[in-house]
Amino acid sequence: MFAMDSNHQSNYKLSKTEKKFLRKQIKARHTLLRHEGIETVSYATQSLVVANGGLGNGVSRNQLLPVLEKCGLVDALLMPPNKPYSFARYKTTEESKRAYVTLNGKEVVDDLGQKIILYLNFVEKAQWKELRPQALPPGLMVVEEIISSEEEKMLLESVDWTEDTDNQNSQKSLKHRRVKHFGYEFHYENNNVDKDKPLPGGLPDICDSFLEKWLREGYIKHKPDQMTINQYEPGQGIPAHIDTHSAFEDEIVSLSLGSEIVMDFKHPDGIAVPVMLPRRSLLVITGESRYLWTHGITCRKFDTVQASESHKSGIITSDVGDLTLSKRGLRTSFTFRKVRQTPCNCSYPLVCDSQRKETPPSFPESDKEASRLEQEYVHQVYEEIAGHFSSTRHTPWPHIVEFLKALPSGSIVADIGCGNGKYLGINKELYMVGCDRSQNLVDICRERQFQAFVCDALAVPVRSGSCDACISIAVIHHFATAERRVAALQEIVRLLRPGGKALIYVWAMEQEYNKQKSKYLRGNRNSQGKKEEMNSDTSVQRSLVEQMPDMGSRDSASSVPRINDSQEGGCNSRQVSNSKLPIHVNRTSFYSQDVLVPWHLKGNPDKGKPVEPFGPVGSQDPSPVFHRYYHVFREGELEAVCRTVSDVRILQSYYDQGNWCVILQKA
Amino acid sequence: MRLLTHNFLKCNEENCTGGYPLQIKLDDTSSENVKILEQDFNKEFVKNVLSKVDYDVLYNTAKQFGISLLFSYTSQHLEDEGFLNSIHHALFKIHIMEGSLICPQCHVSFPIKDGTLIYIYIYIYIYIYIYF
Repeated sequence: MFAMDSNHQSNYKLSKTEKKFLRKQIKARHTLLRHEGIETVSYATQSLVVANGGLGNGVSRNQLLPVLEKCGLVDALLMPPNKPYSFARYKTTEESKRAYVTLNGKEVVDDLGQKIILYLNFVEKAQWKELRPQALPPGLMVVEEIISSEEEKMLLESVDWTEDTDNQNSQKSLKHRRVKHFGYEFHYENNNVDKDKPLPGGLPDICDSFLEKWLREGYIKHKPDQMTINQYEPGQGIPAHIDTHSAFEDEIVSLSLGSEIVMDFKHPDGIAVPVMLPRRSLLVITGESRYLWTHGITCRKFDTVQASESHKSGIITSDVGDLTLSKRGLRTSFTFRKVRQTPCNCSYPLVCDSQRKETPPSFPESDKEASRLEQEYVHQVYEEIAGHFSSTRHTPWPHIVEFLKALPSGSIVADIGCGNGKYLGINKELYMVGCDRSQNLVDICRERQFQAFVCDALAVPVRSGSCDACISIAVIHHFATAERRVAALQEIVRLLRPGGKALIYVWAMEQEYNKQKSKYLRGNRNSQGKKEEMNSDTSVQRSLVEQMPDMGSRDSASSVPRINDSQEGGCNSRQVSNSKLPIHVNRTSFYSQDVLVPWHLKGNPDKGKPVEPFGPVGSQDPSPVFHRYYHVFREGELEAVCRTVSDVRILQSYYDQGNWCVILQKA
Repeated sequence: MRLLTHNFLKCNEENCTGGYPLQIKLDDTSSENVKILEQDFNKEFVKNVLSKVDYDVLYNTAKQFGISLLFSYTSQHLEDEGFLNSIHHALFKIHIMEGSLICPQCHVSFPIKDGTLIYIYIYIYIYIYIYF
């Protein structure tokens, strides 16, 4: 296969392979240009950009360099971290030309044994602009070789993973790291310890001698009383987080066993510092690095490390001439902390849960508060759970399908809050456009070739009266005030042409109706949160009411609200000001109309978009729980909302598997 | 994003009136800022959709992409497959991949990246900033 410059004039037809290769080369050239600001030139220079030959796509220095050196003397090989390309500079233009001709389209094998094809283009110079600070976060220290190899072996062998019933989840899904706690139990729902319930046994005796030694030698200042053991397989990590201020005192130390790893520290201003933690080293986090910087381990199988200083602790350099990839091994960390008995009084109040007044979300009292609540407990959550969420949303509901199929051919239909696009392709005779607030969910729609865009349901960028129909399934219940819910409905009505119809579904407070429990309540108790409630199979029970629900049957229908001790701020359906939002228990009846509903994230977080958990604390859970805000509707409430909108007539109103539904028509 | 979708989009800024139609600005640094993708031709479907679009806007937008449609049409044209095919091409087959939509009134620009349009209230970003 020989390289073709796109300016090459030829009289013969290119073969299929050559054409394909040429297209790919042009694509590589333009992708680089577009994403990285790298300008390729069509004349020969000493420098080449090697697309597909970068640390970011699994090609290491010791693989690439020999391949390049076959074509001539390599002056420099620059491999920017996390990029799917590198730059090679040859001594002379002759040599680089040789490389351009012979190496274009060359197959190499990456570290995982996968075949990769290199594409080369000439550049004037190798340039990108990444600045890395040279200092460790303040208060951070890494002590190397703090234990011997024998001690490392002994500690690793002392851990008994089999007895843990709590770890069933993580054993089932190999995506999550394993954890064990000693001294105090760490609760992942609120990232805190239960200070009143110390675990029997305290810390294992084996750790005592080490802790005493480290105290004596001044590596640590306080004796810890809590320990967490984490085990990371290659590919596992922990999301960036700050250890809860109110839970633990200043000093947090972590012993790394079994394998080295790179831990990422981030300052809220955006500065990111990768720190190498060698085997048998002790990481000491105090002061600013403990209270203000987040730390985390990226879920990947290779770390970018310094080629010359490999295995040594410290910051990974920004000198890209000295970077290479290091394959991860099985790493176990022993993290020691001292539990706080008093509220935290650190100098970083903005990220301190003791000092921040409004940590638990409460019922919003203004539009601004509502917007913030929705941002944290709806939008941010859907971005993080998008992939998993989409996988549980695969079966279209029969009544919604019915509605769409009844629309005439050529109808313009908007799906407000389209999620993963479940309904966008149901009826090919319609032109359906979806919009959703979640970029990640809209991306899924586009992968499926649907027309979808990102926007807020309160301001849909579609001209008034242009839609023949709209659907909005399980969306309006995410708005935190009655005014916003009305506004959302008004937007939908605005989009409709006169005579146009809309189908609205919202979650019902009454999960038991006409003495029948909804699928949500009937769902498997063991898999709490495993599969969200709104799945339906093809055999939908026809327990719905086609006309306005009979007021008389109300008493037997809804479950009677009970006072529950664990819920603060009143749990009846009236809105009490300043009340904290209760956290709903999945697959049970609702006792409050405004709730936070847990979502247990399963499976790998979606491709490439590591969204930081909103707020400073972050989730440390091997299987994190996200809370979504809902206002569940009482019987008749949705209709009441519709009636506040002018020019609207309710055609149909019914109950469908735990949802209140309305079909309305614009006059 | 198809031109048919563009035909329905308007500026969603709070006090903006007259933010329709949005101006299409293609990203010149990208080689594939527009794609032509095949789509099955369905005569009835095209006719029905055509009755819903703002034809003047479609005519002008198509011109921007090098397509000259009939300046206006009558019911006779609706039976002409040639005409319908040109409409079909303009509405369905042209996809804007990289560029932005600009409001002619308030000049806010909304990016289109990889075919996806992003439209969010600006004030939401301000809230995020203050919250941190």
